[in-house]
Amino acid sequence: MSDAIRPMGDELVLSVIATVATLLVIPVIVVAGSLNAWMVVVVVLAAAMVYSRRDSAHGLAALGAIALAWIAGRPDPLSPWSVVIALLMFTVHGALALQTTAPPGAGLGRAVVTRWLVRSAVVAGITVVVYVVAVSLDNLHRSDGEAVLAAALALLGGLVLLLRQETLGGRRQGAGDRSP
Amino acid sequence: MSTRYGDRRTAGVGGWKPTNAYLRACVLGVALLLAAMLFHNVGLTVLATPFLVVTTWSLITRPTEPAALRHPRALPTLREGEAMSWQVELDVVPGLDQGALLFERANYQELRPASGACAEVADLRGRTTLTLGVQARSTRWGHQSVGRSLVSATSSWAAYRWGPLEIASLPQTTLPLPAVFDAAAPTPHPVGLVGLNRAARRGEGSEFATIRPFQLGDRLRRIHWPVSLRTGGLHVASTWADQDAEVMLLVDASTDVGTSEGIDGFASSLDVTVRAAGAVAEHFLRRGDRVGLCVFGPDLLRLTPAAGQNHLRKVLHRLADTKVGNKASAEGKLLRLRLGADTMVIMLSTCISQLALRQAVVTVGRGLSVIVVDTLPRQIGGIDDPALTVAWRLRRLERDTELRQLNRAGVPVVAWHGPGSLDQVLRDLGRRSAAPRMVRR
Repeated sequence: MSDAIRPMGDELVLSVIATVATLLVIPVIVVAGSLNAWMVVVVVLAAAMVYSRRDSAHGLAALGAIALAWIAGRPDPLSPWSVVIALLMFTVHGALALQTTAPPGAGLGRAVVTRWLVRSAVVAGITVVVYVVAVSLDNLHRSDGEAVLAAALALLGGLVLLLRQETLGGRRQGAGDRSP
Repeated sequence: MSTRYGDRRTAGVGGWKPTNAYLRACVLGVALLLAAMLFHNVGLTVLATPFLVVTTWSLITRPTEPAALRHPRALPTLREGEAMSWQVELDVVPGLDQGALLFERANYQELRPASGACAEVADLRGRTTLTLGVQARSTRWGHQSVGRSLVSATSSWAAYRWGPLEIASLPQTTLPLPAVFDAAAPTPHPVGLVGLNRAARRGEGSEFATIRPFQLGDRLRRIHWPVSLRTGGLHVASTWADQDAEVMLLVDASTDVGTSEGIDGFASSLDVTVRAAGAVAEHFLRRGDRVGLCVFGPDLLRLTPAAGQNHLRKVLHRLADTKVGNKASAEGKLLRLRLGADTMVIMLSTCISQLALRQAVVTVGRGLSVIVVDTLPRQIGGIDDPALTVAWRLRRLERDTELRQLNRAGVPVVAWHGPGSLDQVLRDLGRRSAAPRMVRR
C-alpha cells in the first residue's frame, strides 16, 4: 500500500512533463540572458529531483533552483521570457501536485485532466495579464517600484474576481444541495 | 454482481491537512514577490504570480468540514470467475475536489483497473456524493480477506488532503465452479422413496414396465383397456418405481500437486478434485439423489446426505472450506464413514496418499460400491527443475502400479475428464449389484 517507487501510467506521463518543463528552462535562459555551466548543472539536478520524487520537499528545492538560475542569468526584467519561465515553473508545480491526487498506478480520467487544464489556463491568463500591466506601466515611464506595486495590485484584483466566481458559486450550490 | 449496501456505516472522519504542493506554492509565491519588491524586479513578480494565484485559490477553497466515508460491511459470495463491484462513497463537502481509492489485490483476484487505483473529481454542481470503485474478479475457490483499501480526498490544486483512511478487509467466500459433468448411466442401488432413478422393483412410478393381469389392490386408473378388451380379462400397465440413491463423496485433500493459477490457468490437483466434486454433487442432486460429503484433509469436513438445491449450496460452501493437509494420514487412522448398505461411495483423489487408497480398499471390503475418480491433472504447472521432473515421472509410474493393485482389489478407478467420466463404471456397478457378493465384516 505504500507509494510506488517507479512511476507508471499517467504518473509517468506527469513525471516526464515536469522533467521536460524543468529542462526547457535552459534554452529559455540562453535566449533571454546568459547561461553558465553551473546553471546547467543546477537545472539538470532539479530535473532529476522532479523526476525521482513524487510528493516531497524536492519539488520546492527544484523550483527554487530554477528561479535562482533565472535570476543568475540576468535577463531583462521585462523580458517576455519571464512569462515563459513562470509558466514552465507552474507546469512543474501543477504536474507534481496532480501526481499526488491519485494513488500510484491510477489513471487520471478525462474529467480530472480537463478540470486541471481549465484552472491552469485561468492561472496562465492571470500571469499574462500581470505581465502586460507591468509592461504597460513601464512604457508610461513609471519607476520599477511602482510597476511592481501595480502588477501586484492587478494580480490581487484578478484573483479576487476569479475566486469570487469559483468559490462563492460552488458554495452556494453546495448549500442548496443540502436543503430538504 | 453487486455488493450489499443495505447497511452502511461511517468509517471515520479526519482533518484536512496542507500538502507539500500547498507549501511549495505558498513559499515560492511569497519568496519571489518579496524578492521582486526587494530588487525592484518586475520579472520576479511575474514568476511569483502563478504561485500566488494558486495559494490564494487554495486558501479560499479550503475545506472546513471533515469528509464522511461509507463503504460496504459485507461482501457477496462469489463463484469462481465472477466479479464484484467494490464501491465507496465520499460525501462531497465544500472544498472537496477529488477523491482517490487504492484497493489492495488479494490472492487469486483480478482487478479492473488492474492497479486497483482510481481517482475521480467531485461534481461541484450536482451530486452530493463521490463514488469510487473497482471491479474485483475472484479466480479461485476458497475463503480470503479482501477489500483492504485506502481512500483519500484532496481540495483544489491538491492543497489540502483528507486521509488516507484505511478500510479493513472483509471475509469473502468464493465457491468452486463445478466442472462440466453429466452421466447417462443410472445410479446403482436406488433405495429411497422419491427420485428419478428407476428402482429394481416395480411400483408406483412413471416408467412403463409391462402389462400384466389385474391383481387385488391395483388402481383402476392403471387398467389397460385395449388389452383387457382383446383378451377378455382385466389387465393393468405396471411401472417401475422411481427411487433416489444415496451418494457419498469422499474428497481427498491430503495432497495438492501442482500450482494453481486460478480458473483461467493451470489447475492444481486440489482444484480439479474440488471442482469435480462440485460437478458430481450437482449432477446427482439435480437427479433427485441424496448426496453426502466428507473431505479429509487437515480437518474432517462432513455433510450428511440430503437432497435439493439448498443442499448443493451447502456442499459447495463446504468444498470452499477445503484446505490441504494430512492430519488423518499422520495419525494413520481410517475414516469411520457410517454409511448405509446401499450407499455409493465416490472417492475423488489424486491417489498419491496411501491412506486414501487403503480407505478405498477397506470401504469396498465392507460391501459398499466404491468408485475412485483419479483427479491428478495430466499437466502440472510449476515443475521446472529437470531432476524434479524425473522424480515426478518415477512417482507416477509407482502410482500406476498402485492403481492396478487397487483395481484388482475390486475398486474401479476412472480418470476425471468431465462429462461421461463415470458412465461405464456406473453401468458396471449396476450389473454387479445384481450378482451375489462376498462381504468382509
